[in-house]
Amino acid sequence: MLKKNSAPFKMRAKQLSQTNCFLIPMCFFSVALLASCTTNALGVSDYKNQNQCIGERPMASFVGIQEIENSALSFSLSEKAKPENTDDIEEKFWFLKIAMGTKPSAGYGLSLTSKQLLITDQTALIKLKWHQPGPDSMLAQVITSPCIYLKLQKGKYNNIKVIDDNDQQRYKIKTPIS
Amino acid sequence: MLYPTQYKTLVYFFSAALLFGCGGGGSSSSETTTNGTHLSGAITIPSFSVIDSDINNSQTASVSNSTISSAQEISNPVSLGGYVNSPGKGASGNSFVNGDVNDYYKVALKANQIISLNIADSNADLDLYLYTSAGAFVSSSLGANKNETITVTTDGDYLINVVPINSASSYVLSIGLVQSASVGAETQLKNSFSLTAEFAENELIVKKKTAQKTSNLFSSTQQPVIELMDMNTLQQQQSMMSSLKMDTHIMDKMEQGTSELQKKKLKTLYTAKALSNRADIEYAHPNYIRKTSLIPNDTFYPSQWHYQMINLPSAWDITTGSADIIVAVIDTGVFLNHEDLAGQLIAGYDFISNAARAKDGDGIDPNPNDEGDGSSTVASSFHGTHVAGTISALTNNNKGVAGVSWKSKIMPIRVLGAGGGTDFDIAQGILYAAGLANNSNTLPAKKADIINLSLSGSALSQTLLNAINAARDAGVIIVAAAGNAGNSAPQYPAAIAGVISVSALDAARSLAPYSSYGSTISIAAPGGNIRADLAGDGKPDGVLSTVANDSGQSLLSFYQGTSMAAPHVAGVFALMKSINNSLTPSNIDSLLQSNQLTVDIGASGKDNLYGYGMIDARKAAEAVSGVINTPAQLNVYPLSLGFNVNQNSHTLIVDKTSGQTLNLTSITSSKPWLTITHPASQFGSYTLNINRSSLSTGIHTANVTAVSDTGGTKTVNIVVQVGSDLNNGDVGRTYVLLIDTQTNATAKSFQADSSSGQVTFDISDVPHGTYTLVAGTDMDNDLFICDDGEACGGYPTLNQLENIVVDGTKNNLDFVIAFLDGALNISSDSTSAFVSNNISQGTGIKLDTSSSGFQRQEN
Repeated sequence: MLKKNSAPFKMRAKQLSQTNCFLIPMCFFSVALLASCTTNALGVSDYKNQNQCIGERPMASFVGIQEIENSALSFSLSEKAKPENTDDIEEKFWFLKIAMGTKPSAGYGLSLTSKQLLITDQTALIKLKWHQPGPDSMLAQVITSPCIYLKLQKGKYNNIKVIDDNDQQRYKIKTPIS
Repeated sequence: MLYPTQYKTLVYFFSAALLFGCGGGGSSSSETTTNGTHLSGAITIPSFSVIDSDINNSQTASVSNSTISSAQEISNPVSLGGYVNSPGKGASGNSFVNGDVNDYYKVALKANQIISLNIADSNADLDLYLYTSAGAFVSSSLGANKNETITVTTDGDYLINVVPINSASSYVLSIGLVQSASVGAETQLKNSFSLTAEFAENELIVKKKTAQKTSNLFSSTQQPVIELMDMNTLQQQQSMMSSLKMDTHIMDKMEQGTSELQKKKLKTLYTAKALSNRADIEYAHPNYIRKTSLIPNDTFYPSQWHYQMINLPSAWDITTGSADIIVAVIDTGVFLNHEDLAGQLIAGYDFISNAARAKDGDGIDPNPNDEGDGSSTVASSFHGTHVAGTISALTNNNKGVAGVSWKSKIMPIRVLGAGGGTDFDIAQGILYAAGLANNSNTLPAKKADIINLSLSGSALSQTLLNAINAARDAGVIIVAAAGNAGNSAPQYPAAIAGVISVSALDAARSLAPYSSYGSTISIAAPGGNIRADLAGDGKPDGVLSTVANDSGQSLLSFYQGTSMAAPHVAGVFALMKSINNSLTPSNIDSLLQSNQLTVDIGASGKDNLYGYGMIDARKAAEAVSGVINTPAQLNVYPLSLGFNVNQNSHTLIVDKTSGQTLNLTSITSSKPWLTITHPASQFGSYTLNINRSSLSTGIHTANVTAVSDTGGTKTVNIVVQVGSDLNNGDVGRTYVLLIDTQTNATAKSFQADSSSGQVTFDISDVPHGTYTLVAGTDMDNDLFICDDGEACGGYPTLNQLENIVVDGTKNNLDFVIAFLDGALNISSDSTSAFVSNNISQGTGIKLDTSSSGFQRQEN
């Protein structure tokens, strides 16, 4: 809610209009709006999903875009695939790698349950499903190390909490900004 | 009354009167009456006989065929008599001075036909070249033997070129008349000096005769007898090069190669031949390159350390597989559109019965494409694609990776989907691959030879056990991954008796850290270890093969696992089956247990980590070149048959090798005009019969296929020549001679050219006597007919000449004439010994054109 005195505002606006500048009042307006928010819907997406990721241990950490581009153990037959235009992407997004660790077979992986970052008290919540094969399954005997690279819209949250589909917390880490 | 003595005198007088009164043989024959005594007949020329349009015979006009543009068009099949000479070589005649250094022939050829050049003069050296009709080099036979041969590889229009090397000779060029079975590989390779052979283009191996003193060719008195020489150095020695006396036309031939490499190689070959002719040189030949192993040219082959480790390159020297062998990959399916699997896949099936697990919207279906094995949005592994690529990636295609068995086919069977696979689905997949009844109610066109199961679980079900046993009983060899549990707990199906269980090795031939082990391990193979770079190539030690991603891109990746080890073994078994396609699961077991497929690693003998040891592809390939426990094989002889224009039947032997029982299931012909007559029992002599009534002039082909009950097949390639009714054979100017059997002199001669495939003769004023009647050509103009390479015929047949008693006109003295290519077998008990011996020795019969008895055909 705005609590400003409208009268001096109008006089100011008149003065501003004489100088062709409307920016200052708009800035005040926006900041006031932001400060008054308690929840915000920022997006999270599955940027890259791999079953062969470098590193053997289960982990969650922020990574740079270049590291993701270099992370694949698979490659093209012919010319190198044109790298995606990653200019400026890191201005707006953070990338979070979550790895399952090395597994003895196929049938394991991570998938994103919700595409929204639920932010409470400056902590963003991410929900993932940890897939594993059933106990009676016949499985492909290839060593895998599944991981997921999440693309998070930057925002005013200082922490990330990662939970699984049983609502158990798996990780809590600080964002790079804090 | 006359007394006895008076009788005797009377008898003497009477006899003498008789004797002197009668005409008779001997030297007095010319005095007897001969006027009006004719000998006539027709000499038939086979319809495929052709004469070189420019020969040395000075009584004939030459039509040049010495350039590509003036190439003489000839038929196929053909028996062609010709003559070439280097300038100043050979007898005087049309081409003595200037030389006839190229004969070019234009002809349509079919694959597998043999072009055979028989060189008449044993001191002469002629070479044979083959070009496309546009003049591009195809092949050559450049030896110094009596025969040069080239085998045609593809149908097409070609130019054949005969070239003399510092010599002159008649020759017989035959196409489509010599069957491949009779020209063995040894004959073809021996001294053929083939341009397409691999040799160091700048080197020569030269052996000097030890008795000779040092010549200007060698650098010092003390030297090895055999020396490796450099062509560049040799060519700088002007005196040496001129001593080789190479004709300018040979120098021209050297420039005919279409690439710099070919030109160098031609120079080297001709220099080698010329050096061999020097008195001080025993022999000279190119330095052939013997590769010890076949290296495929796939871009990423250098990263496939796992093939070198099991001796695959030297196994590939023996075999690179066969398209007859099928390996079923029972797995996640295969990415059917992968660039590096193009052409390697045959039809398969998707046995995943649960639609959610299958991720393709339905239960079982005929499409084995890998639709993904990741739950929800989890990335797919494309595991089946990786396994398939290890077995049979498209190899030597200048991109991607190599596979173990380059030519065998993959039958993709999909049983693993999101979250893995079920026993029921896997069992159905195994039954289908083995050609047994299954829940798809379909069967493959041809069952798999080998099944690869890079999957496992810790429990064993009766369903899975039954399917495995049924497949093995059906003759399928089953290979499975031991498991990645890193302990000795049995994993199934690997641990089932009768399945080849494969543990995984790293790049140092040690057990990979994840690999299962135990008493049920049969064998070990590379599975990789991405943690290490023991291969030292800057990359993780994974097994490199084909994969894809969920966006449908063809990719490659390093994977590790016993999943990667099993297909190495399956691929080696495919190579083995390519050599001997009747190998059974029991044979594989015997070979394995007698240590013939492996190199022993780890503890001596069979052990719990590596079974009988690391698979050794070379050892395995060698083992099945007929060693122990050889199962019986179907034997058919010959595998290639030709029917000449006059042949209508041929014998085919069908038999089996010793060993186990084998039965002939069928023997069939591919064409209705080729029928097969069976003997009383299944093995023995079969007769192949040709019915020509429906066949047009030209060459016709057919196959005869014999199939045994172990699935072995043998195919016989058949070529039938059908000649035209027009009989347009021509051997050129023909001389018909009457040889007096008492004096061996040529009493009469008659010359004529052919007309409508015949040479007719009518020799008049023939004195009474006994003669041999013979006819021939004189292509080399040495005034002898019937020397090697020339056309020759005799009455009644050249193989068995008979004397003719002339005491009046005799007509219908018909016989056949053909080019002498050394295949003639003249009977030694012919009454016409003089003529027979001279022809069989290659001397020929003297053509005395100056004799008064020489007659010509009236034109």
